[in-house]
Formats: sequence, structure tokens, C-alpha cells
Amino acid sequence: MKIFTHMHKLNLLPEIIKGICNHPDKNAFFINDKYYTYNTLAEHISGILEIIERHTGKNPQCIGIVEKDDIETYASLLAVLLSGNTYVILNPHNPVSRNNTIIQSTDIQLLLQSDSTDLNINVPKHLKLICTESSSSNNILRDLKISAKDEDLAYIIFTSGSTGIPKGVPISHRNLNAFYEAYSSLDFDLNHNDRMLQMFDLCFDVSIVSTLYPLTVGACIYTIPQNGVKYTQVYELLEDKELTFAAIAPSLLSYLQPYFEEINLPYLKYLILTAEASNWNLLSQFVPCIPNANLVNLYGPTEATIYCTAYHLDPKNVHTYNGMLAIGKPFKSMHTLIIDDNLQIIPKGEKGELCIAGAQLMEGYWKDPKKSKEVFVELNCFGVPTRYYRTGDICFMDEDDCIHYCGRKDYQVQIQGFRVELNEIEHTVRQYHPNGSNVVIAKPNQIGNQELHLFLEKYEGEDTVLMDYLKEKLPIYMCPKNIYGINELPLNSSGKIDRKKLLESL
Amino acid sequence: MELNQILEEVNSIFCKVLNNTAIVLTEISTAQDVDEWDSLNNIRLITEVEQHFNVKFKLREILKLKNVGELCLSVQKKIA
Repeated sequence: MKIFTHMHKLNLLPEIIKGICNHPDKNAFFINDKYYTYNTLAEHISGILEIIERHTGKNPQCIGIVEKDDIETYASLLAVLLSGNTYVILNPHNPVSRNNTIIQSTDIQLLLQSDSTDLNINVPKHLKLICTESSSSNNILRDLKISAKDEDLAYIIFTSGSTGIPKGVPISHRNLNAFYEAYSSLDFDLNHNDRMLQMFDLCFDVSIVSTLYPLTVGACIYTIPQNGVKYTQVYELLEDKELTFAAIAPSLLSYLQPYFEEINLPYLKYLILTAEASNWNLLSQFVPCIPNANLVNLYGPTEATIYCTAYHLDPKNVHTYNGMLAIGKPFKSMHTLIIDDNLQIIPKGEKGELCIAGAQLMEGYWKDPKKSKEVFVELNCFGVPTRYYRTGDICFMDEDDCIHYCGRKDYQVQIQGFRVELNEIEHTVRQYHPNGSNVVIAKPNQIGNQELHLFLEKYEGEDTVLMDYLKEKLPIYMCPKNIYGINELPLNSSGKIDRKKLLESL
Repeated sequence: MELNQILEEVNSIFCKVLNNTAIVLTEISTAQDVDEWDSLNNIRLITEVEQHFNVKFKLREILKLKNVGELCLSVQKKIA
């Protein structure tokens, strides 16, 4: 089997060290109203590197980091990477059992915590819990020898598995370097004068590029605390600190929509949409607020290292499907195919499952060969058998070779024998009621037939009026059985609409 | 309108929106004091307050509000 091999011209860790050492007096982070220079960051990293060296052996191991919005947590993440070990983020807001499962499965012996507040973690006896608060040492980064090999793991991210047991996605330095090189070639014009947003939880992999990439160019990273009133803080930072680069989840825009008229962000050079499908109608209303920004929609599963396709928007000629932005073209180290249920490649324009191969692709789920086997498939890439990852995303390619995301395969349900895409119903509802998000959830009833339930934000009209509209536009089997008005759709920690929570509420 | 009166009405709006009749607001109440008062409900609360008193807040004003007392004062100024 051919695995994409790739000689990297660019490696991430040396570029980060260069970025840190070349800008000692520039600000690296703005966290909780306080600036930290690159030199201060380097001293924190150096201090934590000493801790790691004291408590670990020669072989790489998983080191846990308790997530918090402070300089020590970010420095810990960097120190673990630079030490050649693998970092695993533990979120103190997660259920105890989830954190314990992660600790056990990754055999974490060392856990770094930035302060000594109570942890939502049962610390096993063998585990060393070290507080990194104010650990700081002379900057040793310039002489640091990076020991991580290509195949060593940089991090393991745990995503929610459909079975309830978290799935570990191990990403190697080879994956990360391939990502870095491809991301760099998107040609963002950024340097040490730029101010960049990091609004994502560290358990979500988009946070990794939001944190690591700015360091390579000497820019300043502006962070958002977890579990706060996020959208107002993001807006304040964007405006007050005149941020020039922001990667956001589109749901942020639906919160801010009532205030678009007041928002003016002329300094923003780039707005990245990520984490979920992006509604062009909503975004187009936001465009006047960001007159100088380039818009890029970035897509990718965690399994293929953060992002693997990019769509650069030209507001005059936007590619959309069901009102959602296209996800564009694959990164340069990646290859995509769209296949049907029989694993056959399908013609342009037809919908199927998106499969991706390339240097960013993980080797397999952490300690789960069975699950790994399920998601990989061997397909021919230019005549060569190649390992592809089945994304579970239904996509098609348009005439301009631009990939469109149509929804999750799981959101495709059979109703009375018809294949129904829930996103299509959501799109139709959006045309009637554009000022609030909506979600359609399918749930089998007592006799096992799928029934559709519509959750709708900010809707004050009569259910029957909306239902009549839907009956006009959609076949009857696609019309929801129930309509629920909801104040705001719940979001999960990645900023995506929490469909699981909605399903449970039924 | 008296501040007390405004507080009372704001209180009933919170109870309705957050679907919890046990909420008792004081002038120094903040989002930390009310479990259901999160980012998801914040805009909904503000919108309801706006509609009830027939006033309009700017995003900037909302950001500056430190507690329920300041919200009520702001409403009082707008309807004066």
C-alpha cells in the first residue's frame, strides 16, 4: 500500500523556535487583559521543559495538560511538543469519567496544571500532578535540540464517539508538518505586527493552528476564556484590539447579527470560517462590517490534521449549495475522492461520501484497530492503491472542481423509503425564517420509523403557517412532524450545534 | 419609572425567559449568580427587556453592563 511520502521543506517546531527567538520584545499573547512577550513565553516554556525533563524518561510519552486560559497552559502545550512528548488536553469541565478514561487510555504519568484549583479529575496514585504556576527559567530555546521524530506523536485529541466512549485521534509530527506546509502555502500575508484571535477550546484541534501558526510569524495571539459569554468577548477583542486575523465558528455571527449595524472592523485582514457549515446569507450581511477582510472557508476532520480543504471567497461569485458555502479544494498534500456506497468513484456533480488521503492523515485511532478499520478504505489514486479516510461527509464536486459539503452521512435518513438530507429541510426553513438558526433531528418512533423534529430559533409565528410553507416546498415525507421554538440552539464545546443534546431532549 | 419597579419587571422577564420562577434578582446580581444566564440566553434576555420597555441597546452598552442594577438604570435613563 502506498502511503504518501513527502519531503517537508518546512517543519513547524523549528519555525516556532525561530519565531519566539527572533521577537523577544514583541507580544506573544494577550490573555485575560494582560500581555506576555515572546521572551516571557520562552522563559515559561524553558521552566516547564525542566519539569518535563525531571519527570520523564528517554522514550516519548503522553503528558496531560489541564486546560485553562493562561500563559502557563499555552507554555505547557509548547513545552510538551518541543520536548518530543505527546500532549493530551484534559478539560476540567468534562465529566470525571471522561477525563479518567482519557488518562487511563493514554497512560498519562505526568499531568501539568497551571494552578492548584480543584480538578474534575480523580488523580490516580501513580500520576504526578505538577503545578506549572510561575515556573520560569532562563530562555534555553535557542540551543534546544528538537528530538521529535516524524513518526512521534505531537498530540492526541479525543472526540466524542457515537458509542459514548471518546475516540483518540493521534496526530504525528509528520502529519503536523505536512499540515503546516500546506497551510503556509495558503499565503496569508502575516508578520510580527499582526494580531490574531484564538477563540477555541484546546480540546478542539482548530485551537492548535490558532495558537501555533501566529508564533511562527511573531504575531500576537488574543485568547478567549472557555465557558465565558464568548461572542461579546470576541467582538470586544476584534474591535478594541484591532485584530487582523480571526478564525471563528459561524454560529458566532448568528449571535452578533442583531448588532451588525454597529460593528465596524476595518483592520481585519482575514476572516476564517470553520468548525461547521457556513451560511452565506448570514455571512454576506456581515461582510460590510469587515470591508478589508479576505474570507476563507476551511474544512477538515480532526483525523486529517485540522484543515484539509480551503475555499477562498470572492463575494461577487460565491459557490454555495443549500445556502452553505463550498469547502473548496484540497490542500496540496492531500487528495480527495467522492464515492458511492459501493466504494465506486462517482461522476462530477453527483453526491457521495468524501474520502481523503495524504500526508496529513492519521495512522489510525488510538488503541482502536477495529474503529480504524471501519474508517479507512483502499482506493486507487492515479492507479496506485492508496489508503483513504472516509469522512462520513456527503459532498459533491461542481463544474469548477470546487467541493461542496451537503451534510453528515448520519444526517441522511431513510423515510418511507426515500433518502432525505436533513440539511435540505433546514435550508428550506431558513428561506422562510432567515433570522434564526434551525436544526432538523430525526428520531425513530416506537415502531422504528424515522420522524423529523424541527428546532427553530427566534420564531414567533404560528407553527401551522410555517408548516404550510414547508408543505408547499417539500415532499410531505420531508416535512417535520413537530416544531419546537427554542431561545438559542445549544452549542457543544467546539462551537457546533449540539445535535446530540437536542436528540436527547426529544 | 422607579428603579424598584423596573427591577421587579426585569425579574419577571428573567423568570419567563429562563423558565425558572425561583429567580430573585437584586441590583448586584450578575450572570455568575443565575445558573441559566449563559451566553446562549444573554441575547434573548436583552431582547425581551428591550421589547418590554420599548427601548434599544447598542452592543457596546450591553458589554458595559456589570450587573442587573446597571441594566435597570440604563432602562430608566432610556425611558425617562
